[in-house]
Amino acid sequence: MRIVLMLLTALLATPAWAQEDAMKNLPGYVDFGQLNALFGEPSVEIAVGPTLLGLVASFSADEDPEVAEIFKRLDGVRIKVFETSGTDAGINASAFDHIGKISSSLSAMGWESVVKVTEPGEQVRIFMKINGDLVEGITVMAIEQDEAAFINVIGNLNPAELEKVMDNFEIEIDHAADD
Amino acid sequence: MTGQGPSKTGDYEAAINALLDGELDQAATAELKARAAEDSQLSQAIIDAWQLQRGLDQLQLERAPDGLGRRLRRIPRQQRAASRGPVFGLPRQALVTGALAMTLVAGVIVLTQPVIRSPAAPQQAENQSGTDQARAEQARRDLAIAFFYLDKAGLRVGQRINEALQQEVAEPVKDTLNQHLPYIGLSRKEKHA
Repeated sequence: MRIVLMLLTALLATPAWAQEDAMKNLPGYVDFGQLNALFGEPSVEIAVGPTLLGLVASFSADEDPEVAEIFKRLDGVRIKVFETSGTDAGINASAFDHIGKISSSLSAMGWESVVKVTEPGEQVRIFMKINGDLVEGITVMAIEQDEAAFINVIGNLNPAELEKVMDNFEIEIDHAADD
Repeated sequence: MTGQGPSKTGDYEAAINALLDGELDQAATAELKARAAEDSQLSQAIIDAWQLQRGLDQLQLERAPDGLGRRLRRIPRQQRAASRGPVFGLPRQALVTGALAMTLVAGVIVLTQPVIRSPAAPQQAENQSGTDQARAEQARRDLAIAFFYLDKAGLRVGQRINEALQQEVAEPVKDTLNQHLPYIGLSRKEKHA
């Protein structure tokens, strides 16, 4: 069973690097740098590019045409998550330093800093790339005690539309586990 | 796993694991199937176990950590059919979960059988449409995971705003932020409750 499912997954999954390449020239794309060198292998690495988003849109059209249209204007969703529990303070300091460098780079490229949370052992940065009335990209970098998450949403969309897309998925957050 | 199946409710974990691993013998499978038809909790347990294993197997290819099971239990599951009243005297959810479990048991049995291909039809297993649909489903699962982390970051920001600011100030600040990013300080589940 496990072998069958792994084979199916291997056949179905489009390599993350191939999806990454398709997004690199988009204005909302963010180069997070050498995260693997800093944190090690990611526990979760996802890159859904325009081709796959187009497929999702076409298969969502019957069920929810409005959301399907929004999917069409999404160009990419990328995420890398790293487990940081058990790492020493040096790595955390390096991680925070790395976030600072990316933040500076984003600001220099015209990204707007929307949220900045700095707590002992925790940092959250949220940036948006705005072009006129359009949001071209959203970037979230969050380092907590047990994990570091780097998220990049690319596409012409506004927050309300992103909310609709997110509502299209059933997601639960376990507050007790997060606190 | 061979021999007799489990004997009482709550002792099915080993049987479910054996089923998913293709190690449950025919008699025990039949017994599990019969019991799942009558026991909605057991049906749900089979579905949950299958979904969890599937998720773990998928993420294993992405070098998932050992503790990913905890996370997977928190992230997207397809919304189960809510109970909307009885059908033929039975709760709809029980019927739905029972039917899903039956389908799943049958699917597991099929998947664990040796694949025998007809020489006359060697390359007709999948057409392009089917492949695209499967890729779209995979992408949806990936997006659900990504949005989970986006949601979580927003919730974390909201918590920090609440801690740093008085209630009267925190809410307007979060409202303003919500104009830029969804679900700051309020998970979707809470917002739609």
